[in-house]
Amino acid sequence: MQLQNQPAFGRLYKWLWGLCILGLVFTGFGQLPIYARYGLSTLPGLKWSADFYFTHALHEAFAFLFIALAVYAIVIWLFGRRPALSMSGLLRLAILAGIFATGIVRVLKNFHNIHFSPDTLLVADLGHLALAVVFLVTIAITAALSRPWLKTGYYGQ
Amino acid sequence: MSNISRRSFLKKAAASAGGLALAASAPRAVAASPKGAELATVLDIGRCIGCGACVDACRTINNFKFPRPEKPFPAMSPQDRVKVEDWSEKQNVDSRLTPYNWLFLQTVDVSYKGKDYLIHIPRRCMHCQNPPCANLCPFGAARKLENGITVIHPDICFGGAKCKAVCPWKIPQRQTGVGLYLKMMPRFAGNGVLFKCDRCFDRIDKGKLPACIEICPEQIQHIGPREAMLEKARAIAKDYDGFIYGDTENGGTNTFYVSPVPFEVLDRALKEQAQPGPHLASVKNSMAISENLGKALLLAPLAGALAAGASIAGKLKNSRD
Repeated sequence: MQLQNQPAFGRLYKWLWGLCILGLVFTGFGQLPIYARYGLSTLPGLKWSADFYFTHALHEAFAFLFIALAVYAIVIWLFGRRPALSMSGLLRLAILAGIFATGIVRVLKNFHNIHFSPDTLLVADLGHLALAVVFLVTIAITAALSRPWLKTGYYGQ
Repeated sequence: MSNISRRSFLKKAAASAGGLALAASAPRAVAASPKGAELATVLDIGRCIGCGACVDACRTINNFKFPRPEKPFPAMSPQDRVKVEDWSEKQNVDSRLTPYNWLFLQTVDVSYKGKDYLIHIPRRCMHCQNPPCANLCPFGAARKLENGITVIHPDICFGGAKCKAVCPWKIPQRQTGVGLYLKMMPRFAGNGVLFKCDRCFDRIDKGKLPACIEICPEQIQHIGPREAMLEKARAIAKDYDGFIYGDTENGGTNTFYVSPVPFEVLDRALKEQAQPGPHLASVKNSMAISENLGKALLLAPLAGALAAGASIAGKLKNSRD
């Protein structure tokens, strides 16, 4: 197929993905009452970081971007050359899938007419937070070791 | 001559009357709630005499749930921003919400349509239908039960007080020196546990009434399925051409106050007469933006698929060219 020789993910995609992850991490940790406690919100231009409603809305906006980018990658993969994921890529994908699944539960629980049991929500809440921390550790390690997502180079080639 | 205030006299008289009534009659059970239906309460504040029996009953019945802090409290960092909140030496305070007082009375003198009123308003958690405290708690400690009651689990709460920050009425109250944070990193994260009315969920589970409702000598409070209680509130309001608060506030709560005086008037009086605690102003749905963004999230896969489709189509076109 002709697509095999075309760049699948350009520079814009990588920038958007990076921005999305950064935004999700910052606004996600902003859901913990730590930015006011540790003075981050007192820094110039960052007062909004202690506004839970605002950071929550931003988090959902970044989640929109995250899902759109993920679906984009899946569709490109389905109609492209389908390169295999590396082990670290698989690991990151599995963690992101977990974050996505627990995040969806958290989004749904905010709807007026949807009710989950408190125990389900406890697992979703703590799981979302724990997986986010694991993801951050994982990307730090894979970046330090220069481990790519794919077995063969793919990004922007 | 002993100086007995009107309220303390009423309190004693009502407690005696209420106690006798309780002893003499079988406890009224909570009206059966259909599976999945939320329980709501109606408070006819036009008939509240301000005796405070509900406050006392709440404190007595829920005493076993009150915090028993360990002292000295661990140091918390940074010290200038993280303040100890200790109510353990002020457990007798019943004139405001505290971790040891989940229900209190506001009293206001108001005039409306040429008539004077002395209105007593029992205040506690409104038990919102879509509670921001439970939705936004990062640890799943604040939680809404299937029967519409919102509770804070004292063994899970970390004491960050986010629930209080997002509550339109600032209901939950923090006690330092208790809870899970003590077992983690008390210096760096957490600051106790938040406490608030749990609508005696444990008594309701046993088919009993919440303590405040059971003790009320005037029977101004009622509890039952939300729709039935809303009808009751409307009927009471119609009776004396009154007003309802709580049916639409914050997107709808499970507490309906019915008053012969408009709530804007009461809210203004609360401020003018420096009454502590929750307001009675109109409250927009705190979770509305989140609900709308949640709906928008459902369109995200479509946006991604369309972008990918356009990208593929463009590349195919370029390949052909």
